[in-house]
Parts: sequence; structure tokens; C-alpha cells
Amino acid sequence: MKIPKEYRSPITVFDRKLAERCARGRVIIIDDDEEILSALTALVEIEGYACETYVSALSYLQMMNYNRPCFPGPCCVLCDVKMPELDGLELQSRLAELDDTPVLLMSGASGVQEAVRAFHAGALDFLIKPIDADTLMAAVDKALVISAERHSQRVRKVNLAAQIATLTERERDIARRVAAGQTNPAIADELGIALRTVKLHRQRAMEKIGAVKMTDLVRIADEGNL
Amino acid sequence: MGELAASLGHELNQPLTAILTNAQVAKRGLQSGRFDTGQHTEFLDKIVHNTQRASQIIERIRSFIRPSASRSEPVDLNLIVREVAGLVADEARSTKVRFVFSNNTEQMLVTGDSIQLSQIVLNAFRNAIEALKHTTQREIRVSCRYSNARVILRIRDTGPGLTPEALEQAGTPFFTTKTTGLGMGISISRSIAMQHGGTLILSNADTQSGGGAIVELNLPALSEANI
Repeated sequence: MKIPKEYRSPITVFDRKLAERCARGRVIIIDDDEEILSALTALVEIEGYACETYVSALSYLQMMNYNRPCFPGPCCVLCDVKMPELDGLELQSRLAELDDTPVLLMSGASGVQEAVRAFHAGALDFLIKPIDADTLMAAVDKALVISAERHSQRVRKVNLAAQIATLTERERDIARRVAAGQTNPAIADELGIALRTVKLHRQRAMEKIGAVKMTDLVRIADEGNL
Repeated sequence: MGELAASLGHELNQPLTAILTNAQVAKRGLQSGRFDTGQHTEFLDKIVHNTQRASQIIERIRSFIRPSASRSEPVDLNLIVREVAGLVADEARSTKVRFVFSNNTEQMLVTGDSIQLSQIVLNAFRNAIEALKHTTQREIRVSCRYSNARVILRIRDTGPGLTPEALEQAGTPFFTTKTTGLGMGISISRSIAMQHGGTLILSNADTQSGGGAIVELNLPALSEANI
């Protein structure tokens, strides 16, 4: 991949520190009230996390389009509900289409309806302003753990897909039948091959995808779209 | 009063959130020993600033509940319109909004408090400018005329006009279609108009003539005998 010129810069001490913070967690804070934005940023940064701030949902979406480089690590969005142009609930539903970044919404003593809508749309938590620092950080910690879990799930899935791709057509077919509960003789019968051959393919397939027991095979078939 | 309390609560929440968070940051900084005096001063300053912000909000609402004593003197509405247009000239220029005044420059005299009447006009102009933000033709047309011993000031914009809901609700305290502001402008304007023995009516221009919102202020004209 070719990196645009403006991104090519030497790594500085600042970058290294930012990378460390990002590895712990990155919190994207969106609030149209700049006073609140700066206070929340200070809180999140004092806890050792990296922080990105936006004064509107639109400016965040525009930044996403820009495809900026970013240090790896778990990430969550902390967004105010009541904002001009695009409100927090709207942003949440747009983000849900794009990726699985956990979203925390915050609002001043808002209606129950708003909160219900937010939870239906998959918000992780709905915080009522003014938010106690402990409550907020607990929610952020939880969101970052979930983000990390989702990431490792994705990694597992990709690895699994790579392993499955090494199977031959026959091995894959037989592994699928085994996972579905067919016995070796039944498979041999249906495919018109020797029982010994079925056993051989089965064993090779299990070795290739790292399945030790029958239950592993079922699980992998389930997760990895065998 | 319940409505008032709800809105007051909502508006105050913003500075309160900032105050609470800043205070807790300062506390955490103190506990961890990671902040120097300068940083602490910064957060304390922010707390002071947001406290002032909160008290301003309360002040704004208080002035609505208790209208200050109004003066009663001859006021030229045409002059007020031009003065207020001057006040918002910068705002209008930066949003490319043009004022179109009807030709008459004669005095349109009413009796009342010039500051309060200016407030009505200012509020109408601000709303119009806001409404014109997303349209291509950006004009505010102002006319002022005598009719049956009344002075009628008409302020019309070329914006999208008011939605049926807004037309119905406008003037209800705290109803607003904007995300900034309290939704008090029109209800304050209306109560000022009433104190002056007049009315303030919001409507939409018919679509054939281009649509847009119309604010009409109708006040008793100053009678010849009083001049």
C-alpha cells in the first residue's frame, strides 16, 4: 500500500507515547459543548488513555472518511445525544453500519424513550449528565474490554478462515459431514469411497485446522463457516 | 412552572457536567500527584468559568419571569428597525443575508419601551437569519405601515417557512426547533407586544409568492393628540 506523502514522518517521542496510550485504549469523545469536551478529555487522559475529540458527529464522520492512520488498540465512542445537525442516536446507527466499535451515549436527564432507542440500537451504556467520574470510567473500561474482545474474535475468525483454506475439497466435505454428525461408515457409503480413506481425510482435516477432539471440529465449523 | 423547571434543569446540566468533571479531574490529579500547580489552577479556572455560565442561564430565565419595569415614550418603529438591522449587519453579511426595506422612511410612531421593542425586532431578525442558512435566496423583507390607527411591522424571510408543528407551538415557552437556545424568544416577544397593547403573529407566506416565514407586529399607533 502506498502511503500518502503527508503521513510519512519520522516517529517521535510523542508518537511513541501516543502509541502506548492507544494500546491501552482510545476514546473518541463527541460533544458540541467545548467545556464538557475538554473536561472529559482531561479525565480520560489522566487515566492513561488516548483521546480524540470532535465537536460534532459530522466532523467525526468526515474524519473517518479521511482514513487517517491510527495506532492499534481497543477503541470506543463516547457521544452526546443532543447535538445539532446529526444527533448521537443517528450517529450511533450510522456507526453500527460501518464497524463494531462500542458506543456509549450520554445525555442530560433525557427521556426514557431516548435511552430505550439507544439500547435497542446497540448502545453499550447510556450515561446521564452530569456523570460521576467513577461511573464514566467504569463504562469506558467496560467498552474497551468489549472492543478488545471483538477484535480478538475477528483475528480468530481470520486465522480460522486461513486454516480452512488449506483443506482440500474432499477433506472439507468430509469434515463438514463429520461436524454435522454423520458417522464414518455413513460418509464412506454416501461418497462411495473406502472407510479407511474417510478416516484418513478426517484425520488430516482435523490436524490442518487444529482440532483435537470432535467438539473442536463442531465449534470450528460453527465459527469458521466450514 | 413544571415546564420551566424541566428546561432550566436541562440547560444547567451542561455547565454542571463540566464543573463536576473538572472537579473530579483536579481531585484525581491531586491524589495521583501528577498535576503541578499550573495544571490545578487551569482546572479550578474552568470550574469558576462554568459556574458563571450556570448563573448566567439562571439570570436569563429570571429576567423572563420578572419583566423589568417598562418605559413609556414615543418610539419610531422605523428607526428601531434600521438600528437593529445595523446590530445584526455583521451576522447577516457573514451568512450572505440581504435586507430589503420598503421605501417609506417616514416616522412610524408608537408608545412604549424602545429597548423592549428592539428586542422583538432583534429576535425576529435572528430567527430569520438562522432560517436562511440553508436556502439559496437569502432575503429579509421589512415593511412598516399605518393601518386603522395601528402600526404594522412585517418581517418576512425567504426561508423554508415554519412547519405546521412550529406554527402551532411557536410562542410556547421552551418550544424550539433549534438545538441552541432556550426557545424563549418568541414567547418573550409576544409578552412584550401584549404589554404594549399589541399582538405578534407568526405565519407562512403562501408558496406562490415564494413562501417563507412572516412575523407581524401590530401595535397601537401614537395618536395625534398625544404628540
